[in-house]
Amino acid sequence: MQKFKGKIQFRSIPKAQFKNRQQNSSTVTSSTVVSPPKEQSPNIRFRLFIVWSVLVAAGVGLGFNLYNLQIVRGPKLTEKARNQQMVNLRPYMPRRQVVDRNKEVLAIDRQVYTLYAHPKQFNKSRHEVAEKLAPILDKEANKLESQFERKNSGIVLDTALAEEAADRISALNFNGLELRQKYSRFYPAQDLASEVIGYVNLDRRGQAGVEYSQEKLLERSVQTVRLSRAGNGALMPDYAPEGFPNFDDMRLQLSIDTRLQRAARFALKNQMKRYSAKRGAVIVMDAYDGSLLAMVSHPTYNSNEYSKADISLFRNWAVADLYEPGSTFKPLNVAIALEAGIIKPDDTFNDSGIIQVADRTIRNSENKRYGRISPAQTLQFSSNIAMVQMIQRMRPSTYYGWLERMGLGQGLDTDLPFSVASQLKSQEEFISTPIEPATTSFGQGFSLTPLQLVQMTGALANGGRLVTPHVVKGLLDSKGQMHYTPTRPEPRQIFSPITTQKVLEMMETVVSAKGTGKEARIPGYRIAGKTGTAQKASANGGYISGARITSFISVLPVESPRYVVLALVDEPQGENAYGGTVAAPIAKSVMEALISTEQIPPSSPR
Amino acid sequence: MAVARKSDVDNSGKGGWFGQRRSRRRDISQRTSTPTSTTASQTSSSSLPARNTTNSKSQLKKTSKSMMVPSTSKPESYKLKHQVQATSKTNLSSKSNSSLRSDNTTIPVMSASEAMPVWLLRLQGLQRNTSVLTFLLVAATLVAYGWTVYSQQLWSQSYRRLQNLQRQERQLTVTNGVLESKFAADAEKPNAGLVSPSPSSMIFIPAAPGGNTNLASPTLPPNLPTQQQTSTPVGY
Repeated sequence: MQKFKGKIQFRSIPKAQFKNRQQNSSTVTSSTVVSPPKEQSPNIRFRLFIVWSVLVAAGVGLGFNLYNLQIVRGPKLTEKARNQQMVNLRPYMPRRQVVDRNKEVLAIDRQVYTLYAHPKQFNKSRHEVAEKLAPILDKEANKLESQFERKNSGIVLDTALAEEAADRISALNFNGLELRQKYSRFYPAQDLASEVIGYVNLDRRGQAGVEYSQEKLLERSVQTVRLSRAGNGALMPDYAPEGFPNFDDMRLQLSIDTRLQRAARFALKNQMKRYSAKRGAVIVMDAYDGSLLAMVSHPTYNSNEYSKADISLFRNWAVADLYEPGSTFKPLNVAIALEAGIIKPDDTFNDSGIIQVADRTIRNSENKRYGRISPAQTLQFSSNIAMVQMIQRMRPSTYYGWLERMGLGQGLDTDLPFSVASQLKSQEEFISTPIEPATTSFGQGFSLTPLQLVQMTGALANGGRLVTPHVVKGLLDSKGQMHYTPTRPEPRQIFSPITTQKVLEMMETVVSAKGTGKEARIPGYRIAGKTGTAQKASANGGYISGARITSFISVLPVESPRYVVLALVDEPQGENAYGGTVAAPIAKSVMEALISTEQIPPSSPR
Repeated sequence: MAVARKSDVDNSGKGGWFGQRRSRRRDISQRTSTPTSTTASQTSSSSLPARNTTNSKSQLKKTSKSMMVPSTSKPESYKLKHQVQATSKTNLSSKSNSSLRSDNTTIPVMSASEAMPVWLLRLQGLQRNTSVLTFLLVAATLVAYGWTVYSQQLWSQSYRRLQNLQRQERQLTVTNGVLESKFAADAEKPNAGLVSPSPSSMIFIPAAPGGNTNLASPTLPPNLPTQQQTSTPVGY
């Protein structure tokens, strides 16, 4: 230090300090040692203060920014982040499948895509895009290009693009092409069971058949699920709700057997073509529980192309249209008479070919007369006069009560939609005019739906109970477990089993060599049946001349009755167009198919 | 001592408080009090607790100008190394170092280690424990994070697989149904050469009588396979 005494130029302040030090080098005083720091400390202090203030200011600025981002712009920013990171999913929850008795698929949802093009976002030339899309869409490239010229955005190129094609288009990775996913109902069987299943319109609502009546069971509510998406597009399960990919794979099972349905349709179509009939129907019911095995009506439509069909076809006429049953109602009247105790199976009636009731005359068909016949022969020959005599033994009011107990005049409880109630004259009119019970005895003067006739004849088959004809069995899961069966009203007992068995045996004579239903004979099997050739009522009273509705109803097998088969043909043309010739052969084919599918053993060993 | 000389040189050369820090770290034993050592020691001893409460970082701030470098004996000073770092800011005590050496032995600046406050020891121990705990927690957090990301990845993969499988199932069902209906429609055509099954072509085998079980049981097993073989053609 002594060396540098005067040689180095210091700044004023340190210089003074050093000067002081040198002066006081020998004595060490606190003042000299302390003062230099004191004089230097304001400088350092000031600098420290500046640094501190800068840092504090930065901290405060950060605080302000934080407040700004988190609170002031917070909601908007979270919204933005959510839009980027999260994606709205409609998880795969299509309308339930509809399957038949043997678990064959009758209706299924397919994923199809709607392809939109936004030419303004194309990053390649329109020509190139059109070239690439043409083979996938199966259209011409220049047509596509002209479509691109028309609008700048929102061009619909294809509304129902299959999944494979959609995959190929998205693999092209073009900008400006948008694929929107939606479901489309597909019916593999096309027009086989359309009258039962119905169809679904563009809004995905069932409009006819089971699709309409079981809408609640079929349609499942789809809540859109928001899932967050990772950077590479993979979905993350962070916000997935409970049970998100649900495995509810239950299907709606119908009691329809497609094999029987196909056989019935084939037989009905052929016969209708042969007799140039207007329309026809076949119904097969299991009388034990009321499940329908086949329900065919012709003509029908293809559910996949329902828009091309006549709108009147969407109402299943076997359920929704009334007709006068004619002679097929006679077995029921015999059952009523037997049950009421007014006749016995071995009673006889005199069929003289003509009978006078009040001011009307009633004849048999083809003006035949059969003489003394038993109730069984009444059915065998289908004698109107004997039936009138039979019913005339009963008081009209009692008869009316029986008819009402059978369900005439009331609606039918079924799970097929658009069913109508049968029509019966009012009680006063029925009781006061004697012609009414007379015509009712041979099945004219009132009307019911074909399905209701099947239900009533089912009572003859199952020992006197009125079951509910239904198509829906329940919800079946993939393991074959039935989950939900719709509740049906309890069957009503109207006849006793003894009565019904006796009536069936009487009906068996119809399907014999001499009966009207001989066309329906199947060797080895006991079949009970009844033919019917009814006149059609016109709207303004009276009957349309020349228009008939032929039908044949049968119960199979007689020793343990189970199945009811009804075949109806409306307005067959030609001379020999009767129930026995037009409808009975259809019933025979259907019963043969029924024996094969249900494996009904023959009644007698061959 | 030669070391002191070095530190002297350093101190004189640098000035400012970085040099002061370095010298402080280097050899604490060389810290000597200023000529006003008695007052310094008293202030230092009183200011030691005060200093202890402030963070070691407070050395960056000029808190007290009057803090002096405490003179300590070697063993104690090493123990209180981190507190001692927050010592005085006077750096121009280079000159004072040489002059203060003579006062080293006479001034008891620091209290003995046994008299270190208990709560300080406890706090030290607590800090050690909590730092171990923190380390474990951080490790656990990292493990949990890794697990979460991995499970999310697995889930996404499985979900994609599920979607693919569902799509395949759909396509299979649709194709199956279409094929079946096509076959059936073709079979109905007259030139197909097929007839619908009729009862005349069916064989019904009555069930074996269950009355004579003794006779039947040895013969049943050989019967069954033959019956099955004969019944399969019937199904066709």
